[in-house]
Amino acid sequence: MRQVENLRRRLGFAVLFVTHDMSVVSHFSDRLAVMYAGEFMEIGGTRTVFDQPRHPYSLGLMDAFPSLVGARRELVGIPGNPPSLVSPPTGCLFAARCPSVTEECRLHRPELVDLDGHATRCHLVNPRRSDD
Amino acid sequence: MTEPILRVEGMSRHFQVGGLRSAGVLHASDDITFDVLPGEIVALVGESGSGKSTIARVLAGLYPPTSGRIVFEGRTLGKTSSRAVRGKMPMVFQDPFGSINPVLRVGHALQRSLRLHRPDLDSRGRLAEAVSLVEKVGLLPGEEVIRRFPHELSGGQRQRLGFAQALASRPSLILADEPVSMLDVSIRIGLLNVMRDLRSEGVSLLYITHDLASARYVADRMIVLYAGRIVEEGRTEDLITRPAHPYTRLLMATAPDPRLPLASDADVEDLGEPPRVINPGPGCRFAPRCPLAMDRCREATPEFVQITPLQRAACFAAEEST
Repeated sequence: MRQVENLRRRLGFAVLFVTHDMSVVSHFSDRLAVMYAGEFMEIGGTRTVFDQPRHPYSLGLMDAFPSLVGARRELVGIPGNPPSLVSPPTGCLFAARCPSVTEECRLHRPELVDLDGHATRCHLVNPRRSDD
Repeated sequence: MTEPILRVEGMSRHFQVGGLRSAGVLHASDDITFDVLPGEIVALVGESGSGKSTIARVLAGLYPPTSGRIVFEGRTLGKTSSRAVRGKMPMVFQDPFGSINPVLRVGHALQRSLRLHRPDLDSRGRLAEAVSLVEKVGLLPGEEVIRRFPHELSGGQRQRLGFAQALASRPSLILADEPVSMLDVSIRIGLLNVMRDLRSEGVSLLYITHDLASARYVADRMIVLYAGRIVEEGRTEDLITRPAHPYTRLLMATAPDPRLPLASDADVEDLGEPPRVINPGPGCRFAPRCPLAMDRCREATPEFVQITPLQRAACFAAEEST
């Protein structure tokens, strides 16, 4: 990782880093896109997404890491499994595993909405206006 | 004091490497000594090349130790392990896609191992036991899960099935070699919780990993390996809060953690991989990288010093500071 970082500084290329290990990207990337079932759920500055995650999926991920710092505590992760991509559900793709799911989420697929450079695909963060 | 379920005494495993002219002996693990108590979860922590998987494979009977002794349930294991021993000390592998027979239904595979290891059960008993096993590892509803084929299960579910299969022989110790490292983050914690719950089944677990944070999450005790030797051992929280060996400290400092501020690890030196230990001379194997290395460290192999009655480290610098 440090090698890639040093080369990037010296040669000035960009890095698109694809991983499931968020602890690694947290110290490596400038921006972070959280994907679920083929869609961006959230994208923003890495530190912002880590410190103030908005999407319930990102929140769940943050709570899925055991840590070496602080007290040892129970973690639950995100129960359930990703949806079938052959016949995806109509509403939000994360609805079946979401702890804050509403009726709205099961009916309509949310859009990715950018607020202040930090975009989220979630009805709870970006309520649909009734004239939509 | 409770009798340990497993005692490893001075176990070494060496391999011949190289050709005729460059032949050498690779010391994959050297002088490994540790115990596992009944119902205890012990983590073997080390990077790739630290010898942790070699230890697991020797314990599983995949190859014999070069020297040393393994005492399991009070009996010294022979060169090859019997089916009974393998049943009492099964292994769960890293790859949930390669380690499960794809053409057998979940229930069929489980009942097959029940037939081998549980002669006390009749066919109805085996079916009921298969259902109860998959439910114990959180695969619900059990009646439905046992009718599925492995390809209908996700990676996390398959790895849970790996533990259900291990439990089928009523083991006293499960060897788990990096069982979660191939799983998605959101699934991993669920499996770590399954591993912790094994304690209530009265099963001990040897959890082999490179991930300190997950070792902390599940294990009662931790054993840290470097280049084939144990460098430190102690209760998990003691090691995390007061690591005595400079290598353990370095491991802690280099573990990436999203909860820490960005770039906090920028000034820590790159660890690199542990060396391949071929025809080693005397001296501490960590000395070339150690910030505290003294002349002594390059001349003699450090013995263990007790930091506390429950924590020991093989380090001259730790010895001088106690």
